[in-house]
Amino acid sequence: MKQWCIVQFQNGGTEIVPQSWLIENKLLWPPYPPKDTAKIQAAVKKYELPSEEWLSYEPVRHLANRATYEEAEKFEKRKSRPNPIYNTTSDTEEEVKKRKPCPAPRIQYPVSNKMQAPVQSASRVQTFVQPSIQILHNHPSESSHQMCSSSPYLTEYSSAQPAMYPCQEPSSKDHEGHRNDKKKMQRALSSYPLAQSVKVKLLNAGFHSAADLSDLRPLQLSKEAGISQQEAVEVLQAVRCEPGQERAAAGRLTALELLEREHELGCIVTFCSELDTALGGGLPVGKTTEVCGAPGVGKTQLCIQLAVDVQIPVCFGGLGGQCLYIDTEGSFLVQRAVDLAQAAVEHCALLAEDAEQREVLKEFTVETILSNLFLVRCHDYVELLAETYLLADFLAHHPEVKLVVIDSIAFPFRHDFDDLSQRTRLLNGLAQQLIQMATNHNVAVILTNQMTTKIWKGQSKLVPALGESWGHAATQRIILHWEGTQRLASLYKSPSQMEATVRYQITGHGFRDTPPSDQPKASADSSMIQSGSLKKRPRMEDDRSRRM
Amino acid sequence: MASKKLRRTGVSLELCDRLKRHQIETCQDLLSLTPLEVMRFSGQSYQQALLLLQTVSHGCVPSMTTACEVWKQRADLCFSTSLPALDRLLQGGLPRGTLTEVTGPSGCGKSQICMMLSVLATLPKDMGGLDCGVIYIDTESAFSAERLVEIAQSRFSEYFCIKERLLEMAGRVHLFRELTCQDVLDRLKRLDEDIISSKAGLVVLDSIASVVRKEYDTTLPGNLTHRSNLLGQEASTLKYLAQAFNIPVVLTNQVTTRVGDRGERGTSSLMGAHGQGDSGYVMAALGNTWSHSVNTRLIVQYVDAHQRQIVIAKSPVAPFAVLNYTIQKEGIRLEGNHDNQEVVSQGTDPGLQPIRVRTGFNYNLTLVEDRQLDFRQRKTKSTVLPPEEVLLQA
Amino acid sequence: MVVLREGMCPGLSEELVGALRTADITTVEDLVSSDTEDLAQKCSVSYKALLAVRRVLLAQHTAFPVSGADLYEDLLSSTAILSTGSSRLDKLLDSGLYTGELTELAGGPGSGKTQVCFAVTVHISYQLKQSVIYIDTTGGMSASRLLQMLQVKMCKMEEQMEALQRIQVCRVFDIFSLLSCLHDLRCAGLQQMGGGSVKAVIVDSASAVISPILGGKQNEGMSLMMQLAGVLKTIAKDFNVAVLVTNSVTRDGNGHLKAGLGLSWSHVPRTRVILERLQDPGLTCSSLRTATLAKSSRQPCHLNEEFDLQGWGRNEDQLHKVAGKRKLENIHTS
Repeated sequence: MKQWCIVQFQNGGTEIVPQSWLIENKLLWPPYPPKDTAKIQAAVKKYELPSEEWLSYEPVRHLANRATYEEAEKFEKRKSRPNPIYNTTSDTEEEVKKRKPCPAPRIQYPVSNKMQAPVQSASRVQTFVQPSIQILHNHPSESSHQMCSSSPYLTEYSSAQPAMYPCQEPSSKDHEGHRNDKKKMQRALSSYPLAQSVKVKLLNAGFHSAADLSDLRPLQLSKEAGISQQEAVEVLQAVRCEPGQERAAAGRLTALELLEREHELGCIVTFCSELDTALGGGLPVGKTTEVCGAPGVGKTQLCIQLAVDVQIPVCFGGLGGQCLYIDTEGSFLVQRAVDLAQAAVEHCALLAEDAEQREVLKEFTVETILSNLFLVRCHDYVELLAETYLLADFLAHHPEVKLVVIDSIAFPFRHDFDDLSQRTRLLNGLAQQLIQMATNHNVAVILTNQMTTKIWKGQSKLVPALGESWGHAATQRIILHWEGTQRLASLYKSPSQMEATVRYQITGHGFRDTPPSDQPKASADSSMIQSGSLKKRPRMEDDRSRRM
Repeated sequence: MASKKLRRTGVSLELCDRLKRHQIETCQDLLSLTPLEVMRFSGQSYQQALLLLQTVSHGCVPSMTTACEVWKQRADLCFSTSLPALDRLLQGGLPRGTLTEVTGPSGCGKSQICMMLSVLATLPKDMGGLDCGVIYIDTESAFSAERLVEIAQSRFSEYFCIKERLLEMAGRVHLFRELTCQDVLDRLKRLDEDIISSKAGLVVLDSIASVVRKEYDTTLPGNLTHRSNLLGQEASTLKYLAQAFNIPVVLTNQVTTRVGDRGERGTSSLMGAHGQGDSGYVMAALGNTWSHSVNTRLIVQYVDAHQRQIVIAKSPVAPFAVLNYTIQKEGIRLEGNHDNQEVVSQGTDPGLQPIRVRTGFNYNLTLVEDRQLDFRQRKTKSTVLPPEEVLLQA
Repeated sequence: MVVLREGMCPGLSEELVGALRTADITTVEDLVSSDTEDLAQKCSVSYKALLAVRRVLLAQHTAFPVSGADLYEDLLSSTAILSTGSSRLDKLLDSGLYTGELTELAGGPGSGKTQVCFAVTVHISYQLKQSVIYIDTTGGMSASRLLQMLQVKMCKMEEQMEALQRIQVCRVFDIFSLLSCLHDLRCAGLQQMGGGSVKAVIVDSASAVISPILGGKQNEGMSLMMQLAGVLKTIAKDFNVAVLVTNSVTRDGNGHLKAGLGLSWSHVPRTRVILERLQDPGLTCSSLRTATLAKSSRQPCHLNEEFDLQGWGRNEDQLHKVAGKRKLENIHTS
């Protein structure tokens, strides 16, 4: 059965071809001269079969099938008409009819005779000043206010000697070329990171956009705007060193490249397989994660566990990184870190199989773990802020650091603030700094937050502290909470993972899975296990080895 | 460090003057501003403002160490409680540089523990003490010098048979009686001087709750915020002192009744999830926020007329655990505990941990409680211990 | 307020600029608002020349009235409506995102703003085969999640890769970098990047960069915010792309949600949708969300739709089967 297809080329153009010319998304095309449209059309209509010497185009997009050429033509006409809706899923006519083609019917334009006259004159003028329309369009905010004041001038102008203006009208190609430059220069000066006093002076002197400064020398500028020579140099540098595409390209990447990077970065395991699964393999490097929880639920334990786990050597599936631990609560106890480090070393020793791993293991001792764990104790929010301002430098000098822990962000910010909006501002700024650092230096950032009681609709409940807006700060949010005697971790917010709630427990060895026997019900008696009990060990080893 | 003057951080004089016009003189003033505000006050561009912030940050940033260096000084990490079972669980005793809280109903022995610890701190090092002074801030007028002496004499009868030693011990315990919130706060702010002059190695605050609860009626609006601000400041100051002098700080806290939604508003109500709304029970006072502030929380509670329990409810190092004790002439004596038996890896929210009071009535019926009852029954069965063991543990 | 400069237009010579300056005429505005005759006398320049210059300057600097009919033509030929991939959300937005307009998604933490952005990105890039520029200011961009969403669509590996390649990601974290990033995009011309034409610019989130600069003892933040609004609108109009921004929410006196960033920003987006979790923000996990139309020029406000973040892009009947029971779709590629 003969069928004609409507295909779309990459440039958006469409064509009707016999179905036999189309092989998946490759289009075969008769080798006739492109100008000889009659011959091509005849070939299409005749349903000519392709042969060896035909050319091929790809990729093309197959839009629809029609039984006859005429029908296909009808369809193509409709397609090539500017259709405001990108038809997404189906191209059937009923669907298209069902959709409103455009918001047209609702906007009623008056077409009375009175209105026509100004429209005409306007369109006449338009031909004269075509180029400037483009430019004006770029300033929607400015044009609107000019619009009202300018109409009297306009009539005067349009009736005045038109002969003068052709010189104004560059050839359109030329204009295209200039446009990019112009656009670049149109950036308003107030959007540059300059000192405010300087900006005000520049504005008062009539400099509004980068274009106004384009051909000025520093001395001229300093004289005209009344700013110091040094400031003038700074201004000009800021405006000129607009490297445009170069810098833009550096900070920009496609999602595919990003995907590769994400895979390279990896994750930090938590030693609780359920939580790892929920997080998609562990704590993601390059992102910020907030851990909220009631007192004593295990926030600090999770932090110390991660600080140890980030150091697991690469050949064991870890990251072999270092850790910076910023302690604001004084809860970091080195005794506990030693416990967890010891457990991690023993665990790796059990896993070691080949010579390489055994070799690496000699280096992987409690002592090295401890010496790769940098500690800072901050006593108030000022010290914490100071530390974050310097963190970028520290990370640049210590590229091995893969994890930054702030335990906790809440404590220093929950008192000492009379002005809550100031607190919010500082916290928002801090959050952006941390995200920037996590991205630029490829470190995982983990923040802990406290819970606070909120009374809402007569009920009180526990919510993370520092206010609702802080909830946006970290990329991921994990809430640790109790349910009876059972500890639960809920992934509350994550860009890449589904929300989930998992159980965990804290043993003498650290943050671990709950034993399976507890799964059905966290009954009181069966949950009592002894921290030193050796019979639990083999199971947990199995669990962890499966994971790694 | 936050109050360090900008001049001393390497900021140019001209800039200092400019900032001073806007009342920005210290690191704290500057770092509390956003970069845009700094741009405005210093009249600089964004890049320069960031540089300025960094320069100032260098001036007040705390120093960095590694865990390894801390571990090398592990001998100084703990303060032994002289109760072997507790010490073992806490990996050596009360961690120095952190806040330890003792919570419990009245008469359960909180002050006894504090006084016992005070005696211990003054002992010479070879006897497990710290050989240093004690700062004892008493807000409840519960401190009794006679009791202190009694504990000392009966606990270390050999050592304290010499009267001079007893006097020296008593002289090293510096008592401050502060009866209002403001007094306590002021005392804490100036405590660094006292710690240095009295060579103190232990700070006791007995109790943090009484003054605060007396002065702030939390049913009035706004008071709760004030109270938590005050507590936050106190906690922050104490933490700073603990860290700076590397000493343990012991606080005591009271308990509060929670009946439905009445009572202590500050305390949280996740208990609703436990499915018993109407039965009242007792738990640590001062609310959830405060529970975050303490590093270690020990709960003392009644079992029966003589038996009491000490519960490790929150600790960075120790698992949830329950130990039985009695109050004797010599202070606290642990008894009726088998090795390892008391270790439970579960636990519950330390802010909500139900606390048993003297009445003997069951205040709640949670699973936790049931389990503890079981526990107690088993314990009580096995309390008959050979006397040698009791002696050993004491 | 454009400064007069020689060579701005024919006839505006250096001498003329100098002469005008002596009469305190430095900007175009000064020139056109002063009396030409007086000025000619005062500066002793030719009246005719001055008049000619004035006319040219007026022509260059006046805005231009466009008739409604022209606008309508323009609208028909250039406006496209990009489906978001979820029929529920499309219904709310009157069939999708309109190019040339600013659409805003507001919602609290974990309300699914970023997920909606991802879904829209994937839909435009995969189904509509158009390029998308995704400006990430919160570090929330996760390419593996995009891949996961593509895999749900059951397409071939190459197609997935192509779709990912059509998504351009910019990661900027402060207002100044965001502004220069947008200006760079504008200079470079959106169309030159990647394959296919760019149809959407997504900024996730606007509030993350704006909220730290608002308030306090300075007022520049507000001006920067309006700069940002201006450049976003310009990009939407000039390149005829749909711009989608996300915003945080605050509660008003009655506990109702409203979009953040204050009154000035509230005029910026043309369409605003508020996302919410279905239940109280307790500790329960659910992927059901409601979307409420808070501002629109086409539909009545307070329209309400429920949707499931997990079932995005699938058929509706499939969706109903999945809704309710939890299903992890973690297809790991690593």
